[in-house]
Amino acid sequence: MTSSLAQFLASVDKKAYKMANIATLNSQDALDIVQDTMEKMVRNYSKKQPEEWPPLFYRILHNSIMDFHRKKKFRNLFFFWQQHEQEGESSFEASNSFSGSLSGNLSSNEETNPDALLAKTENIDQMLVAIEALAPKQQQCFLLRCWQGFSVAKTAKIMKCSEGTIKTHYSRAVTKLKIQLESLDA
Amino acid sequence: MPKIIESQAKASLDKSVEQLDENIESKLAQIRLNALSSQTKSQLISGWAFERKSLVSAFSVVVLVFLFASDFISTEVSTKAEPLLTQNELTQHGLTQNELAEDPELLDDLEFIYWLSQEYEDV
Repeated sequence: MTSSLAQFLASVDKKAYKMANIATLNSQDALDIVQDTMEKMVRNYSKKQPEEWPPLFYRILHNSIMDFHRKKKFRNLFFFWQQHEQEGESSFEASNSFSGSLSGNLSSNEETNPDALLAKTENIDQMLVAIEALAPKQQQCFLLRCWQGFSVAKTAKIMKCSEGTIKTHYSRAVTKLKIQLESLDA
Repeated sequence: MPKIIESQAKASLDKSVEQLDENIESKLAQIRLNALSSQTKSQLISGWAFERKSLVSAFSVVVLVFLFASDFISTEVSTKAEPLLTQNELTQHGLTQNELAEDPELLDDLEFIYWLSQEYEDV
């Protein structure tokens, strides 16, 4: 059981990291979320049937990501002066076509070498930028349905909401992505 | 249009995963190892805790048995220490303490003797 669980974790770790990175826009926060998720998975659900592992794993991941957003909101409420500084940075990044995904994936070489940074900038995937700009629940719903391939029913269980809500989130996410991509192309 | 968005999104996300930094990949591998090793640790700890609980339970049972047994023994001793009949009562029935000591079977009949004494008193 342990070896199959190890194989399962190896098959989902990169995608889980990417989902967390898109949500948090920070590499270390994303790694912390993945670590927390894996530990809870191993501790609480290792004895479940293997076919149950994927929805369980992504449910824990989703909860961890939502907890992150709640804590961030709480922090911003009380440390609003720091929030203004962060907003300034993000608008600078937006005006220079910096992707939020860069903040998590820059190596030290790219951070110090302008040519490497420029090369990375030119390879910005506009779709990732658009996904990062989605509201948290729409983003999670879109990633679980479209990328992870979960059904409406399973996604509803993972996100602990109704199937109707999932359909609404997904529809709005797709519409926003379409608008975002059209504006970026323009 | 939604299908185009979906396929483009999947392709972009898959590509971004393939292009993950080596540093991030090694950190993820470490995270996996830590999580799986924590399972082994928690199994050991829970096993030790179970053994400890078992020992405590067994000890409690032994203490309870000892207390019960000592209470039972003390009750038995106290019962045997107090004579059922006084010397006067024994004399009335033609018995002495020595005879009772010599003939243990009389001890078994003491209750009957006491009852008889009550019957004769009523008469």
